[in-house]
Amino acid sequence: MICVRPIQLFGSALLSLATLLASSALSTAQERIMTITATEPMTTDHPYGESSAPVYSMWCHTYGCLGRFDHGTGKPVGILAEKWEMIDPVTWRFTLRKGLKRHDGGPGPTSADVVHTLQRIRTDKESVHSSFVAMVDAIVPVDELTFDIKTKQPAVNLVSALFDRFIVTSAELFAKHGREADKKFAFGWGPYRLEEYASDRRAVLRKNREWREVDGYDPKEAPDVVILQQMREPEQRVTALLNGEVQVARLIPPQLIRRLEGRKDVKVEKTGGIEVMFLAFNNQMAPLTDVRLRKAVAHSINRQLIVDRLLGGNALVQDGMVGPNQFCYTGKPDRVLEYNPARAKELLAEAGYKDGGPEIDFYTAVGRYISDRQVAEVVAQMLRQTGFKVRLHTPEYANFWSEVRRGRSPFYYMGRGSVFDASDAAGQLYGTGGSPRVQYSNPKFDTLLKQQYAEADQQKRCQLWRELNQLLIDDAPTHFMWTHSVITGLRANVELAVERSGEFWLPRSKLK
Amino acid sequence: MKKFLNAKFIIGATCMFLIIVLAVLGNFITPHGSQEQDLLSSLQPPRFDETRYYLGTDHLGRDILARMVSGARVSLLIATAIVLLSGVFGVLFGALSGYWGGVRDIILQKVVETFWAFPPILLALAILAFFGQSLINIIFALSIQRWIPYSRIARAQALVLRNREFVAASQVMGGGTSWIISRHILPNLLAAAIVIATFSMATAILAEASLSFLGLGVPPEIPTWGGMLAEGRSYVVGAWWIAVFPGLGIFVTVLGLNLLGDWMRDLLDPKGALNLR
Amino acid sequence: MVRAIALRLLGVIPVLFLVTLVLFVLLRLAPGDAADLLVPDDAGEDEVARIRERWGLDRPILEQYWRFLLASLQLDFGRSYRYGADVFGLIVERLPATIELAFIALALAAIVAVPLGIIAALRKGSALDGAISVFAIAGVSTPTFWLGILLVLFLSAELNLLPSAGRLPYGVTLPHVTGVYLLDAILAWRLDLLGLISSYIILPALTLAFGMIGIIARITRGAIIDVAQEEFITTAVSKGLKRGEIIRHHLMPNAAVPIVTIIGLELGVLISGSIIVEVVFSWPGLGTLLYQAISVRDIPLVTGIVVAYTTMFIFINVLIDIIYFMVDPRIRASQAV
Repeated sequence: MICVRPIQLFGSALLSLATLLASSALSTAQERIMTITATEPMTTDHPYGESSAPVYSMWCHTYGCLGRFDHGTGKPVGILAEKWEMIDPVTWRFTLRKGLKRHDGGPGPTSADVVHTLQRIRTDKESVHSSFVAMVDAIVPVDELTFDIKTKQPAVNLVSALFDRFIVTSAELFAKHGREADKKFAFGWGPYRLEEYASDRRAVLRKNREWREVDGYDPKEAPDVVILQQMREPEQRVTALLNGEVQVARLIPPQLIRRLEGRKDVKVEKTGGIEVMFLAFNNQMAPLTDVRLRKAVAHSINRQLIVDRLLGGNALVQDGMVGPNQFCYTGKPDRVLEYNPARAKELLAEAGYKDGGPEIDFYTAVGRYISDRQVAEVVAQMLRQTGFKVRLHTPEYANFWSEVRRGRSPFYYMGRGSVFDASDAAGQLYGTGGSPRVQYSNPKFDTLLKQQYAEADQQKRCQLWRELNQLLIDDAPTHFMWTHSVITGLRANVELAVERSGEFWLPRSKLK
Repeated sequence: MKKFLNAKFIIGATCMFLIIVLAVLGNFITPHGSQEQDLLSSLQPPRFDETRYYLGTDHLGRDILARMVSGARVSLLIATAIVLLSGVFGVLFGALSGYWGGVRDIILQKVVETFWAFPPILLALAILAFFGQSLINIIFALSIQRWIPYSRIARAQALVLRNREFVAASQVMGGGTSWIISRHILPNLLAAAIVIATFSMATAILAEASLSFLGLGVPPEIPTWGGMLAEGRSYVVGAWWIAVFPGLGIFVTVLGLNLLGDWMRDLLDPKGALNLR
Repeated sequence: MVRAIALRLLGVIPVLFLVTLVLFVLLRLAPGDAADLLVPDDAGEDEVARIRERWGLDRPILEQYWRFLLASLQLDFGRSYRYGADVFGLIVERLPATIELAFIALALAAIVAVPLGIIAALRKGSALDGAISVFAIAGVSTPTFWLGILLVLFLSAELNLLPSAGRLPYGVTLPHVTGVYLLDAILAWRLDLLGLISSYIILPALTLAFGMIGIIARITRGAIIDVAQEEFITTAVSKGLKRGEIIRHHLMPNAAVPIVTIIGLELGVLISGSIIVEVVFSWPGLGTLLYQAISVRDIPLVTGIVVAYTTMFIFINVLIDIIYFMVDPRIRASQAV
């Protein structure tokens, strides 16, 4: 039993027997199976052992998480929690749903499980989830279903930080079985039960028939079995969709859409994304310490042309950290850095590079973001046209990333995923002491950022964000490019609303 | 004479001639530079009109023909450099090992065994992944196992000569190691080494293309066939020319080298006595 | 003979030692380490430091190497950083897929190449011989990854004849005995599954086989020509035996040994040579695992896989030597020197 590790039913004997009978009966009946491509690595069955949006989503569907964000409405929706409110600037009170049952028939989630979860995220050696709970000071149970989350500082963004990511697991099962609980007793409360997990191949989820959405919706049209099948090559995903091996092909790059067009049996779903792509400067490394040069870079680049001609129109040009697809967007900023090669040349001349130069080294991730290398090649060319002397480097991702993380990369193209509420991302990239990646520091930015964390009034908070956005454009610590559209290929019999994050909530999907 | 001009030679020589012509004269045919982008004329099919995109353009509007020329040059350059580096090093290593004999020979042969034991491509993959892309790195990475066949034949030759009287005599007369190697060992190896080199060039070009295909080849400023293939992969439906031409380039070159190598082997070593793999 | 084999096997130990040392030195010289890639993008430096400490990456490389050596003496190859699982277990899990692919590719290549080689040898010097050798060389000259892409595109996407990824669809259960699915299906007497399993393996195997055909055909041709020049064949011809009989009873049995040996040697090359094909086809074997391990700087996993490859490679070679040794007295004589 090394090859595949089905989640075996060693739990309560009676129940496992019942489940086995049920599943064998079902497999003869007409089961509606939906196979979805998985594009990120699936390396471990440890629910806190890997960090990527698709993996969070998988565990949210099985173990269950507090809630999720519906980007369409911009509103958080409960999954295991049904109510949450801020009771003072550093305290949020959550109430869990009543009447839920664990997949093995055990009791529903309790405050103790939530406390256990935080504990495990923080202390388990294999956990890599601790960064998004960094702001949490403590979780204090109030009663069995109610608990308070205390934060170190005011955090109005707590819900958006925890939802979709905070996966609640059973304290009882972990106390009994330890790490084995993830393998043989992977029972949670979510709408699907984990049936099989084969690392780097597939995960099989089976519908929890008792599941009702928080609003009472019965997901009877959702697929009975969902297979997350790893397919990392985009060409392969398209092929598999076309010949019916999979029903949902995720993350289709723009150049492959043409293979899906004009087919009756497949359809293409496009959603505005929230992965913000940018050209980052290390603001402490000469010569890009000079804001005129950074702006000259910005003015050299014709973003719309790249979007239209290289990305097939499948991206939305963005000014600043917060764009139209994100939380707190208040319309186009007052001043933006448009394509203007004449201005770029002027700025270069002002900075002392009248006869060409400066020499800059430009790095890009390869194969990490949509058409990343190609974009970088175009950017390098556009910069050369206004007089920069650019050397383009395409290191392997591990090297690229370790240089960026240590603040040793002078100028690079990359992205930041899942930026709906931009607070934490902005703090880490641009806050003083946030990280060495950009090395930008502006006391005014830090003050505004801190203020918005404590601003409970959404309208006022968004106004603060308008100012923050403008600062990031005026000081140009990075030049923002666009957000890619999330492109998903579906078989014609599938209905699925893809979120801006690229994820989806299966109980609301339909398979005919 | 019939043996000299057989089909292998004719086809092989034609292939190599075509590629060398492409590498040398290609730039006179196309007016475009290999790095010149024009997003507004991206993905143009091959056409013989005033745009002069004879083999079409890629997704960034770069001329495929100009990039093919560059690819031919890079492939030939890298392959030649690898063959020279690995050939010189391998022959010296093997000759010294065999000439010295004894404990030194045993130690050197353990080194040979170690490098030989690594799965092919793996060391190259690791070196390029860890140290980044550059011409020097790829030449080094692809030479790191290719010197071994030369060292084998050189050592065998040295072992044979070591005990011959005339070598002993030249030692007595004060001939140094290098003199003996260059005078007595090298000439005897030349034929076999050339055959090995030809095949080795072919595999080097394939390996370089594979690595470029995985994104680990040469830097993006230098267009290569493998890199073009990797990029053209997503455009195969609708813009076949981006991937088909570089694929053909690799095929023709490697075919030419392999045919010439095979022809030479038939000529020099008809019984297959030398272990040339 | 036994002593010679024992010496060969003992000689493997210093090679493995050097192989791992080379890897550790390479990893030491490379920038970046696994800790950067294990944590999410938004993790802070403190978390990277925590992970680094957790895996002992903050220790000097020689200490890391020393620990690795000590542990590996007890056959403990450590835990993968990325998978959090036992390296040995991960390798055992992936190896069957690679072996299956290599065997099928080899079988495909041999089925095509051996007859080609025989025909070429029997018609030595003819136009047919020339055509076969050019065809064989063309096979070796094709970039496999390019061929693979085109095959997937046309056979799988356009014609919808074959699945494009994976080893078996969901819902088909096969008792896990060897992990080589074709073998498992036979052991479980599920012959109905053979076709299904083959449909998944055929594309990568074909791609991999393409490059082998030329080599095997050439060796076959050479072996047969060699045997044909032996005295007993000449005698048989002079005795007036029929051509078919000579081929069946005299030529083939004697040419079989070198052919089988070379095919065996190719297996060693194939097992490790499948890395690129595995990556292109997302074949869940050792090659893809290695590629991923390298890209996330998973030192224990990279080392473990390389040691596994190397060991297999060396042992196949030793095995071939032994077979040769037993079968061919001339080699026995020459090796004694």
